[in-house]
Amino acid sequence: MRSLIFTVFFLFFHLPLLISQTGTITGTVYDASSKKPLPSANITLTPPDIGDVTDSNGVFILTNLSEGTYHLVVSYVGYTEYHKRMSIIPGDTTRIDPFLAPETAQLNEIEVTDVQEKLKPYSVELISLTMLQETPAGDIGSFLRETPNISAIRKGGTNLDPVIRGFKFSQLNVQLNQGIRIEGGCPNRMDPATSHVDITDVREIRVYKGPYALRYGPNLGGILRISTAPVHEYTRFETHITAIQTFESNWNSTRSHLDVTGGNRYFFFDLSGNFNKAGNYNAGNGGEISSRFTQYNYSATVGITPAKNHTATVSFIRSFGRNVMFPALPMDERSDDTRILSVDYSATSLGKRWQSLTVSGYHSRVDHVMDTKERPSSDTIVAVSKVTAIDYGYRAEAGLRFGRHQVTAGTDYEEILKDGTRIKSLILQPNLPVKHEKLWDDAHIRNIGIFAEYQIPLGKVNLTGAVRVDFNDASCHSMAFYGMNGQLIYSIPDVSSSLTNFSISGGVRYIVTEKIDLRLSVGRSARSPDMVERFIMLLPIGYDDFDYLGNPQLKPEINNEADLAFSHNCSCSGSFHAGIFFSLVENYITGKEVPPSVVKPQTKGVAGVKQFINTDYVYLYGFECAYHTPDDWKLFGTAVISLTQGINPEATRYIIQNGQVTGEETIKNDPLAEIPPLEGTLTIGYKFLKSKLVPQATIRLVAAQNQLSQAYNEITTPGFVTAGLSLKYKYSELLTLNAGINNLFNAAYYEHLNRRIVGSEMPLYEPGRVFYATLIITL
Amino acid sequence: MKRFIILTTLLTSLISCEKNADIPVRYHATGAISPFTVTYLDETGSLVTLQIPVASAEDEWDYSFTSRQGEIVYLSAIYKDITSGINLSILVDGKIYKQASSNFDTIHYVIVSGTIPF
Repeated sequence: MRSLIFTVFFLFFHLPLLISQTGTITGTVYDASSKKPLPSANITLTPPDIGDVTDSNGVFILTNLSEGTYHLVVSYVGYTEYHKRMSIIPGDTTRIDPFLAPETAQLNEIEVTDVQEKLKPYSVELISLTMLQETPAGDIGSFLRETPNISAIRKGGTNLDPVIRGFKFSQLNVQLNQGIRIEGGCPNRMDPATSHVDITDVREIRVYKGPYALRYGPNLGGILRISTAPVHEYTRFETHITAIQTFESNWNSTRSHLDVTGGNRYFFFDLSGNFNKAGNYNAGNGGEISSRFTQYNYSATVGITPAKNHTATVSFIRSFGRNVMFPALPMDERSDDTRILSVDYSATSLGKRWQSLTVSGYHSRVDHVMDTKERPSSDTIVAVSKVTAIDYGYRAEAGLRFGRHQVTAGTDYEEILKDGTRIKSLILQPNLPVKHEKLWDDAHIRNIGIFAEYQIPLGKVNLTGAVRVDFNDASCHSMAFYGMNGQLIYSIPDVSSSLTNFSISGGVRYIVTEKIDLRLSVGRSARSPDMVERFIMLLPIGYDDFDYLGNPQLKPEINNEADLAFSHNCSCSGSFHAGIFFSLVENYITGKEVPPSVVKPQTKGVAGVKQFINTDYVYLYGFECAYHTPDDWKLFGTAVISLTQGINPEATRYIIQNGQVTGEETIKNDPLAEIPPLEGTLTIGYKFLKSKLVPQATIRLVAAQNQLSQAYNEITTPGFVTAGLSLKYKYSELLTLNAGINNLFNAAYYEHLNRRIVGSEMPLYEPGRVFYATLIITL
Repeated sequence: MKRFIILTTLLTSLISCEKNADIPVRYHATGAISPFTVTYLDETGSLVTLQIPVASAEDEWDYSFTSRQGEIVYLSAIYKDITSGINLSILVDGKIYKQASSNFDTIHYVIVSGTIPF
C-alpha cells in the first residue's frame, strides 16, 4: 500500500515531466514608464527562430522548446529592444516579464509603429506629435517636405501638395483617422486633402511608400494616414489643456492653437480650435510673394467606452480658409468651408481568434470659392468659380489570428460627388455680359473595395501578402461645353464607365542578425482615374499652358513596384537604413493635344487643348538612405539622402510658336515632369540638461535638377544649400519653447516642384530668412 | 470643472472669423446736358437700366448702397446727343475708385467697373 501511494504521488507530480520533453517561455511585456502592458510587441527567440506577438494584454507564450540556450529579443517601435539569454529545461515553464523603455524621438528617423507594421517588408515612416509640435511648418505638405523622398508642389504660401517618390495627386491615398477621405474643391488642387486639416491638430502621420499597403484603400504610389484622434487613456476624470502659439517673422505669421481634452474610463472628449494668419513673404532675393492667407477651424470629438476594449467615437471638424493667395495659379481661394463628420467603432481582444474589429463611416463636404478679383485681369474680366465636393463612405475591418497566422480582412466604400460652375463677368463690356461654364456637371465616382492581408512571423523570416479588389464606376450629367451665345463647342457623349481593379502585394522581411534585416516587397496595384482626369471641362489645370479636357473612358493606372531595403540597428553605433525601388506604371495617365479643329481652348493665353489619355508605360526608380546616431548619445545627428528619377520612354512634345501648337515631335526617354532632384539633409544637435535644452543645426543640400521633361518644357532648377538653427527648451512638463531660424543665410532659392508665377516664367521663390518661436503650454 | 469651462470659453473665443464689413459705394454721373441711359449693378447683383432725364449740365445722378470686399461694381452710361458728354465715377468708402468720361466724342458709351479692393 505504501508503494502504491508513493507511485500515485510520484506520477501526480512528475507525469508532466515524463510526458513532456520540451519547455515553455511565457510572460507579459510592459511599458517601463507607464507600467501598462504592451500589446503587439514582437517576440523573437533564436535559435530556432521562433516568433510571437503579444496579445492585447501584453502576454506571449512560446511552447515546444527543446532543451538548450536561447536568445530572446523583445521589440516594439519607439522602445529600446530587450535582450536576454536563457536556458530551457524540458518540462519547465519559464516566466519573464520584460519592461521596455521608451526611446527619444528623432527627426527624420525611419520608424515603424507597431509590430504588425514592423514585421512588414515595406517602410512605414512615423511622424510623431513631438516632431509636429517642434516644427514651424504651417501646413502638412510643408512639413512632409522634410521627410526623405517626400516633396511637395508649392503654388502659394500654404496648402502644399505632397509628392511621394514622384507620385502625386490621386496617385497617393491621403486619409484622415479611420479612413476619412476629403475631395478638394479646386481643379488646380489649391486645396489638397492635407490642407483641410490643421497641422497643429495632427497627432501622428504615417507614410506608407509604394503600392503594398492595400487595406487602407486604393493605393498606387503611397498612403498618407493622418491621425487627429485623441488618445483615450484615462481611468478617472481628467482634463488637459494644450495651448500653442507660434510666430514667424518675414510674413508675420501667427498660429494659435487651443486644445481641451479629457475624460474618464467611460467617456472621453477633445475640443480643439486653431487660428492661422500670414501676410506676404519676402524671398531671399527681396522680392515680395503674394502669399497671404487666413485659416481657422474647430473640431470636437466625443467618445464612449461601453465595455473594456470597445470604443465608439463621433467627431466633427469645421475648417475655413479666407483670401488664400496662389500666385502660381490662375485664381485665388476666396473662401473654403469644410465640414467633416465621422463615426467610428473599434473593439480589440474579442476572443482567441477575433483580434480586432473596426467600423467607421464619414461624410466630408467642401464648399470652395475661388476668383480672379485680385488679378490684373480683373479690370476686364472677373471669373468666380464655385465648387461643391462631397465625399462619404465607410470602412470595416476585422483582424483574426490563427496561432501565428494573422489575417486582416474588410471592405471599404467611397462615393465622391462634385459639381461646380465658373462665372465670368466681362465687366468692361456694355451690359456686363456674364458667362456660366460648368467645371463639373453633377459628377460622381463610386468605389467599393474588398481587401485581405495575411501575415506570419517565421522566426527570422516574416511574410506578408495582401490582395484587394475595387469595383469603380463613374458618371456625370453631361460633358457639353457651350459658347457665349449658347452654341455647343464640344461634347463627349459617353460619360459613364465601370472598372474592376485587382491589386496584389507581397513581401518578406529577413532578420539576418540581431542588428541587420533585409526587406523585399513586390506589388501590383491599380487606381481608377480621378474626377479631374475623367470629367474636367476645358480648364488649364496642368503643369503646362493647355486647357485640359477629361476623358471618362480612361483605363486605370497600374503600378508594378519592387522595393529592397536594408537596415542596421545598433545601440552602440546608431541605425542605418537604405532602400531602393523600381516602379513600372502601366496605362500612365497624361495629356494629348486635341487639334483646334476639334475643340478650341477657352482660356486666354493657353496654347491649345489637351485631353487625358493612357500611354503605354513610364518607370520610376530611386533610393533613400538614412542614418541616425544612437538615442542615448548626447551629441546626436542624422543624415538623409534620397533621389527619384522618372522616365517616359516615348513622350510627345508639342512645338509652340506664337502661342499656338505648330507641330509635335517624339522624345525618347523623356524624364517625367515634376520630379525632385537629389537632396540630402544633415542635422546635428546636443542634448543639454537631460534633454531639456536641445540646440540643433540643419543643413539641406539640394542638387540642380537637370533631368528635365522636354515634353513639358521644364527648365533647369539650380541647386541650393539652406541652413537652419533651432533651440528647444523644455522648462517643465507644462512649458516648452521652440525657437529658431529657417533659411539662416537668406538664400534666394526655389524648389523644382514650385510652380511658376502664373503668366510668366518666373519661379515661385521660397521664403527668405524666417525667425520663429513656438510656445507650448500643457496643463 | 471651472478650469474646463474657462478654457472652453477661451477656445470658442479663439475661433473667431474675420468680419467682412459693409463698405459704402456710390455711383455718380455728371456733365450730361441731355437725357442718357445708365446701367448699373445694384447691391443685389442685378443689372438695372434707367433713363435719366437731364435739364442742365448741373444735374447729377447718384445711387448709393453698401457692398463688401471683392464684389463687382459696374456703371455704364450711353447718350445720343453728340454735343453732350458724361462723367462717371464709382466711389468706394468715400474715395474715387474708378472714373471715366466722354465729351464730344464719337463714342457715346462710358463704362467704369471693377471689384471692391480687399
